[in-house]
Amino acid sequence: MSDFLLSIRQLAVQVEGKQILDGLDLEVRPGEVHAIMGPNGSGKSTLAHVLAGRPGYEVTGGEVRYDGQDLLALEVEQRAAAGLFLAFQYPVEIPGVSNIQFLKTALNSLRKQRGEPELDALEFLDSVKARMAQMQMEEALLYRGVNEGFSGGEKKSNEILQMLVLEPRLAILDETDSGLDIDALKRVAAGINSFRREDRSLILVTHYQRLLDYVKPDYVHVLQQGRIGRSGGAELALTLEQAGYAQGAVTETEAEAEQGRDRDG
Amino acid sequence: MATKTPPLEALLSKGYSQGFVTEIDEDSLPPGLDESVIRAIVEKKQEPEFMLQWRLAAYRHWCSMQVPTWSRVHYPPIDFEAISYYSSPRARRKDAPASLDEVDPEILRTYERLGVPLHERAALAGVAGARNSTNVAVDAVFDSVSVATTFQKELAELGIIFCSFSEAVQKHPGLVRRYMGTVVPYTDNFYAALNAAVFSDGSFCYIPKGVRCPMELSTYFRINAAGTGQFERTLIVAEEGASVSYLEGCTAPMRDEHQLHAAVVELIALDNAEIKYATVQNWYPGDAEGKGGIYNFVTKRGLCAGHHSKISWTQVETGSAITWKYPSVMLKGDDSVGEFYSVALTNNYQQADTGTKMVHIGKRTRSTILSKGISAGRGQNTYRGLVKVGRKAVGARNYSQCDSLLIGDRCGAHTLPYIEVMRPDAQVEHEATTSKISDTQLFYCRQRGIDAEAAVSLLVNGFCKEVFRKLPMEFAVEAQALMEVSLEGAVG
Amino acid sequence: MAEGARLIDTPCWTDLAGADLPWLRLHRLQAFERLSAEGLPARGDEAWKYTLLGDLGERRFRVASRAEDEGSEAGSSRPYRPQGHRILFRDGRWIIQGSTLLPLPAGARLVSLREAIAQQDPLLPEMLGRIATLEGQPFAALNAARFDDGLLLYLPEGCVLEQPIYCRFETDPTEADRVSFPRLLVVMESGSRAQLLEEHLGANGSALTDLLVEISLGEGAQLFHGRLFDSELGDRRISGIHVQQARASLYHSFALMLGGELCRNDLQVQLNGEEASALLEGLYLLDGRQHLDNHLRVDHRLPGGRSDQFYKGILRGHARAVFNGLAVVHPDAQHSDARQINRNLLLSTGAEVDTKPELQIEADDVKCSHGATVGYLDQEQLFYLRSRGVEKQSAQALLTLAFARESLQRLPRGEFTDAYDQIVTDALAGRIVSRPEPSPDTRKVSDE
Repeated sequence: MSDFLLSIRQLAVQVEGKQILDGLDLEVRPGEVHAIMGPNGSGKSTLAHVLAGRPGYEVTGGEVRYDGQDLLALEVEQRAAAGLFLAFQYPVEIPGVSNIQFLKTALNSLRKQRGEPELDALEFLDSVKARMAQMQMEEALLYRGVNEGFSGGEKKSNEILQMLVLEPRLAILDETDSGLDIDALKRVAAGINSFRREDRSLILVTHYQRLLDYVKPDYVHVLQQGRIGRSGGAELALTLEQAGYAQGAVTETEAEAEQGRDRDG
Repeated sequence: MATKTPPLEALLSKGYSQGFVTEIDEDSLPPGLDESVIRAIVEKKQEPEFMLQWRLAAYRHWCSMQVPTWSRVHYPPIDFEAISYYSSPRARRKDAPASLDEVDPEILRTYERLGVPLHERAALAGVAGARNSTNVAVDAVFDSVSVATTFQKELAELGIIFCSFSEAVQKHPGLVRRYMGTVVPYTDNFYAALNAAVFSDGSFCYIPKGVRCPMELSTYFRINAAGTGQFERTLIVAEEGASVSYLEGCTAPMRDEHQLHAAVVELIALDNAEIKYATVQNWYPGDAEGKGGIYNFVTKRGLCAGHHSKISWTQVETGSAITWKYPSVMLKGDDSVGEFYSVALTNNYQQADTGTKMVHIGKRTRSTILSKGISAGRGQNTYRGLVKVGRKAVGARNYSQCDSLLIGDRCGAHTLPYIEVMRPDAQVEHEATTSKISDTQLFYCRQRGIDAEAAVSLLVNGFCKEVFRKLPMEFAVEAQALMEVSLEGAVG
Repeated sequence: MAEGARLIDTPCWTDLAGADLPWLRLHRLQAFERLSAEGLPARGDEAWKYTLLGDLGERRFRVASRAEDEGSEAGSSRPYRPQGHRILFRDGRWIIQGSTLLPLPAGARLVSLREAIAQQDPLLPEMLGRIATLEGQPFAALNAARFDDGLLLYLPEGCVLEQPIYCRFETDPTEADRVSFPRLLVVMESGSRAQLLEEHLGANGSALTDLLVEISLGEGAQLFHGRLFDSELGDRRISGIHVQQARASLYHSFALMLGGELCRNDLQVQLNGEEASALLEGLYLLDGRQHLDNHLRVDHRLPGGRSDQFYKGILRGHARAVFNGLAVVHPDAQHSDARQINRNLLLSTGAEVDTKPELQIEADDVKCSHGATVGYLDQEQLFYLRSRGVEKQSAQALLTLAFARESLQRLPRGEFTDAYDQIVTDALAGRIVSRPEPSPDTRKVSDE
């Protein structure tokens, strides 16, 4: 038995015939917060999508274990039921389906898959409203179509709200900080921090350091050329902020990647 | 989709839950149609002479007509000689049942199973599983005849007449004679002519001047006997300032043969009157291979005869092998309003050619059309509509929106709007879109733990929401549930 | 040929060009048989629901003789001499004296159809009549049976015609009940480019022109097809335009329709290659008792095709405009993008619009939309302009012109663009706006 919640080995992924991830390794224990950083096009979002099971990504090598299971063998909704949550970089609009209806359907689907009874409607509503208050979201948003006509900040807050309501074990946040002003960023970060618990893990996919000022990661990884080029503690993000990806990482990537592989092997 | 989705076909077994047959004695005429059949129907129903003459005129006119072929629906020719034009549950006594106690308990059980409350006390108390726990008066039509009408006494105190068509012919011949055929004359079309000749029952509803009907009126149509057609007629008259909300539901047993349902509905709204007519049509649609199912060829039309009158049609069409109908409004009175809200779903081999006609005759008349068509499997869904603004319809307005949703790549969605405008001050707008459920939306739902089938159902209900909102509460819930059943096996 | 004949009467086959060529004889005979079997459109024919032909079928028309056409003076008074190839057709015949051809790139052919038939151009048996659908198109069949002249344009691979081709169609104004059957065949190989501009002018007052155009576009070929109708009341023009498009080709048609008693256009486009595009645009300004009927059909047969139907019109008097746009997306044509827009301004109580934008979708991953509007000028905009001090008449004129300009802005640049713009501006100033009529908001309710 490993004590890892998530364990990725030598993951290789193609999109439309193009190699995006190529030998990626990553291990996450319960309670840990990992930040995945890297320049545009380095494969950060691809990693998030592959873990969630988005169609259109072809896994050409490697394996992903999640809670002792073969994650890649699971259907999208089975992964969700196993406690994996993806906060979308571009949250999807679903006109006609109200936010509250969506949340309720999702939560009851998850509970059903886990063999748990449906939640009492009133209890559910109260708990959602409490979390909305925590996120400083207007209650009116509950009765509008999912993300329909929401502002950028409202959409991102809505993703975090869903995370708080659905209570996953591993949440992957894909560029959740992008497009947020400083106040919205603080609200979102507060939501994320309230989610942290010793049995819950987080993977923060981000281009910039600024989210990490508010949500302190245990580990920072730099994605380069389809694999983890460099890993370190929270201080690595600061180095990157000052020196940029080119200075901070690329030049050292090859050697460190070699070392990383040796260590794993 | 690029990844596997669950084998959803396996879930099909839930299927059509109203497809059972009630075992009772039926009193049917032998198949075939000639003047003697019409005389026999008139005889059985002891109708006055004017009915016989009208039916015969309709029959003779029908004989001169050709089967229409202009719709986008395809089916083998119907053998009109193979249909029995009259079938009624054999009465325990010779005349119609005077109270519920005299109705065959098998029939009562049938309606109970369908969730239609015929026991008034039970209805008020809210029968478990009954569709309507609130006040709804029901006229239950079983094959060719009405078997029971509830709450008649309460309604009569307000001067409202709500009864079977047969009863209306006997008790209110003056009203029947005055209004029957004025909105849909028997010359209107092939199936309207056939209906006029052989119709056996239906509902009649009269709301006197200034009365707002305090409860929903409802007719529940059930085809039970094999080898029959159902030809019923509904007539609703709302006098000046009156208003009524009317619901119609339909089911039939699962059979391998196709059965014909050719109804006529006429609505008349006088000055300031309002009629809302809602249909949840769930006739047996046939099986996944397209075997069996009802041919639903219906003529529905409302006449806004008075000024400031309003007629609103809402329909949810999930059943029938073929649906062919255009609930229409003739906007004759000045400032009258017509509305049409429709959801039509075709799955497997179902075909629907439906839409509306809004004919603007009076001044400042307004109409709204909102149509949502969903095609899945090999379903074919056609919206066909006419908006006509006549020379005298000063300041007429219409807004139409027709959206189609495609699920799977073997189905079809067609939009044929006819717009004819003869007024410079008219304002007519038509918009239509065709789309599919996007992979991104589906992925988003599944990532949150909702399986593909539930996700499709959720998205489709979202697509239809604007129409469902127009239904009375109980019907809206039923409509949503129906959509789920009807969509089974649509994904994958 | 002194006596007139009905349209469906048997033509005098031996008078027609290439009468001795077996393949051509067969083509004409088959077309005539179809016409005889199907007849001219009658009441109850869905495709002609709003356009009744009246006594057209019974009328006795006369075809001009070749000698008559070549002998008479040019009928048109319009002194429009644009830069480009200029071809004059009188009564459907290519008139050499009135035409000017510029030098052509190597391999390109631009000749009269009569000439091409005489020289037994090998392209003709291969392409002529192979593009047009005669089924349900009685006037196309009529043309196929009776055409005698027209035009052949052939562009080899990669050939770019820098100068536009102007085809001016006139009818002899001195003779009543003239009928003509011009036929155009355009074959463009892959990568070629051209601009073809039809001008239908004339003041015959009783003539009928039955035009049939067949166009084949090779891979990546691009054709702009301008069509101008500006003739007097009494003239009737019926055209069938049939287009077949290969992969990634572009067909852009723009019809500016101002004249004639009856103008009917059947435009049928087959997107037979992936990523092919068709832009079908039109602008009509009608008055009096003019009747215009545009029937468009685009068939998306392979993935990735795009079609855009965009027709706008302004009507006055007792004019009537019919629009029937149809986009068909066949089962294999995933990722198709089909759009239809028809917008109409009605400026008088006698005018009528019948519009039917139609979609038939058999594939699921498509983007299709259509919209149609009929109405008067936007009252908000009108009010806004007036509140800023613009007089009502000027405000109406401004908004009407703006409505028309939206179409004109979609034209490619060229000498004809300015000409079209001028025609529209003149027409609106002269015909439509200068005759004041109270706007609907102030008009008394009249029950006519």
